[in-house]
Amino acid sequence: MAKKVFLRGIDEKLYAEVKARAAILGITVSEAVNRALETWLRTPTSDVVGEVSGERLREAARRLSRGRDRGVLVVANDGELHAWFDSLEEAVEWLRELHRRGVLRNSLIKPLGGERVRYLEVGGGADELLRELRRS
Amino acid sequence: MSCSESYDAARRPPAPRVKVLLENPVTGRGLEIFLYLDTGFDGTLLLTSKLWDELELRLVELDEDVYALHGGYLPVRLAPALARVSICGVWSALTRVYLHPLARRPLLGREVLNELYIYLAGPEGRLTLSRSPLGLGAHEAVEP
Repeated sequence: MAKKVFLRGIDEKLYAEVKARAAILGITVSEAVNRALETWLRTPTSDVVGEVSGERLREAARRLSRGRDRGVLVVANDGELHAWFDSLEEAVEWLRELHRRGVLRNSLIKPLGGERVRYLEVGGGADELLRELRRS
Repeated sequence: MSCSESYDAARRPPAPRVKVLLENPVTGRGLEIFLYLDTGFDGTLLLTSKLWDELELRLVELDEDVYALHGGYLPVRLAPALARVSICGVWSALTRVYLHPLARRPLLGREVLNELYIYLAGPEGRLTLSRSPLGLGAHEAVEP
């Protein structure tokens, strides 16, 4: 039986994406949310934990990079470690060293000062992708 | 220096593809895979979830907003990461690669293809890649 739920704190950008994709697929937003919740419940707990640590890293990167517009920030181990570099190569080198010492659990690289959002056209895959989405 | 590869004849119609060594620059773990050449893809490499997991590319993930568009619409969020890519010994770089959560086949896009000279010999089901202009024989073959 359908239940009415009012939710606060839904990300505006995320909601707009869901609405656009649901319209393309010819389904309602509620139906899209139901499908997403089913998928989330079927996701192994280890993957869900991974998503949580990904969000922690993003939050730490957002906080640390506030007011800066140059360089490369690397955040590791849920935000316990971070460092600044001039290039992506140096950032990778630092992560490689952490990995070599066996202390790297997770990480995120944040280059600053680039494009905010990038769109990449994927040529011939549209029909294949739509079939995949309609099946899921 | 150039290299030559066969088309994937199992696909209908047969599709040009190339062998690529993809490596996680942090762990050093690498995989040799075939990528399909896609001149309609704006980016570098588009990868499947399976490859992403096998190479643990989440360790070199970039905090950037990137979306795939399909035929100009249907935005799908991509996850960008850094990987060392070597294309049949002809081209190599530390470059951005992208996870498409719904992709079933890895693609090689124009951001890399535009750095190479590529000759597609469709009737023979073979392609040749090079960093420098291909020999006269190849050009003669495409002249009317």
